[in-house]
Parts: sequence; C-alpha cells; structure tokens
Amino acid sequence: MNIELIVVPRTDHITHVKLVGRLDMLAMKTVDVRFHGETAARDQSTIVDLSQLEFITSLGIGMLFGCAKSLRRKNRTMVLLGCTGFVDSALRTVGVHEVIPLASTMEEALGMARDAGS
Amino acid sequence: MAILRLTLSNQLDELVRINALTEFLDEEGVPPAIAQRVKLVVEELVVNVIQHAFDDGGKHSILLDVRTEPGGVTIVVEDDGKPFDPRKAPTPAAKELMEAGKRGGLGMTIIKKVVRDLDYERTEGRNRVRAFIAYSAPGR
Repeated sequence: MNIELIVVPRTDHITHVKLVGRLDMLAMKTVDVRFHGETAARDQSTIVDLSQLEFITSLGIGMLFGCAKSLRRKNRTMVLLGCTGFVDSALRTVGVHEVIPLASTMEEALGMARDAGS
Repeated sequence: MAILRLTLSNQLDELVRINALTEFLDEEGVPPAIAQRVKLVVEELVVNVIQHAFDDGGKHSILLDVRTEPGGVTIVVEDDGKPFDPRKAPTPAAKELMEAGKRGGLGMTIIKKVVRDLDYERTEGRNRVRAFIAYSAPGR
C-alpha cells in the first residue's frame, strides 16, 4: 500500500478525509483525482487528516494547494490536521502553513472549519 | 562510505526502483530524519528530469548515485536532457503558487531548503546535479 484515502463519515456539513501512507509521485497517480472528488468537488469546508501520512513530495503539496484554492473560491476552507515529523517539516519548509491552516487536534480543526463557514 | 548506483529510464514507473534507497540508507545507519530528506530530494530531482528534461519522446537514461559520507549524504543525478541549472530555478513562495493555481515550482524550493550544497555542471551535453545533505543540517 502506497497511499490510502479514507473518507470519514460525518453528519455535519464538513468533509473529513484521511491520507495514510506515502504521498509521492507514484501515489499521486492513484489518489489525485479521487482526492479532488472527495474534497474540492464538494461544497463543504474540509479537514484533511495527515497524522498517518509518512512522506510527502512537492507534487503532493501541489495537490493540497489545488484543492484548497478550489474550496476557497467557494468560501470554504481546508484545514490540515495532525501533521507531525517529516510531513510537518516538509509543509513548513515551503510555507504551506501560511496559506492553509494547520490544526493539532480535531477540536481545533473543527473550530477552524466552522469559522470559515461550513 | 558506501555508494548506491541506479540507472533509471525516463519513465515515471521507474520511480518504484528508488525504493532501494530505503534499505541502503538504513543499512548505512543514516538517521531516519536524514534518510527521509535524501529520499525527498532524490524524488524531486528525478521527477524533474523525467517531466522536463526531454522533448523528443525517446528513451533516455538517468544516472543516480547516492553516497554516504562521514558528514552526510551526497546525491548525484546525471541526464542527457536539456540544460537545467537548479540553482537558478525560481523558488516561488507558497502563497504565490497557490494564487496562481500552479502545481509546479515547489520541488526546487524544497531542494534548496533541504540541502546544504547544490552544484551543477553541464559537460558534453549532460547535466550533472550534485546535492549534499549534512547530518548536522538544521531541521528545516
């Protein structure tokens, strides 16, 4: 398993997905379109749980940028939850935290998503 | 000191062979945090070559050389594609890329921030990029 996209069911109007594994070039080929469909294509603020993501490259970060921008156009927001270790370092290296909010806890992520209008 | 050498063709499916790095770096005792950076820089460099270096649709070889040294890990990538000096590549800010809706450009930003040294030479129609990741590099 290279990458797994898990959609977490919710009863409110917030999308919650998890990326598990490695988000490298090969993984992008399998997950990119589905990730867009489960996040940007929905008219809801979105929490992307990255706590079980082990690795990410620039293409993976680009995927997050693209979907975050699509959501922003709809006055929705994307929140990245639980980034740690290498992934957190890689995201901060390119300044992702300056354009997509990062949350440490689910409560914090929900607050950010609701503040943006869900 | 040990060396891992791979000759890859310019196909994205070849990236699976880079997985050999994991075992190599582990056997060489490279700290996990540094090993992750090495794998990141290797993938960024090789993907960049595969996606941008060749216009002819033909088959080309990309030489990858990863060498463990007392102070860190040296990565060398060689190809016979178009001249490309990564040191001169723009490194746009995240906000700029997101506003522009561009997916490209981040790879070079990552490389320049992760490596301690980045060298380039063009010799006899070949690009040769050398990157050095120091064990003592700050955790950026």
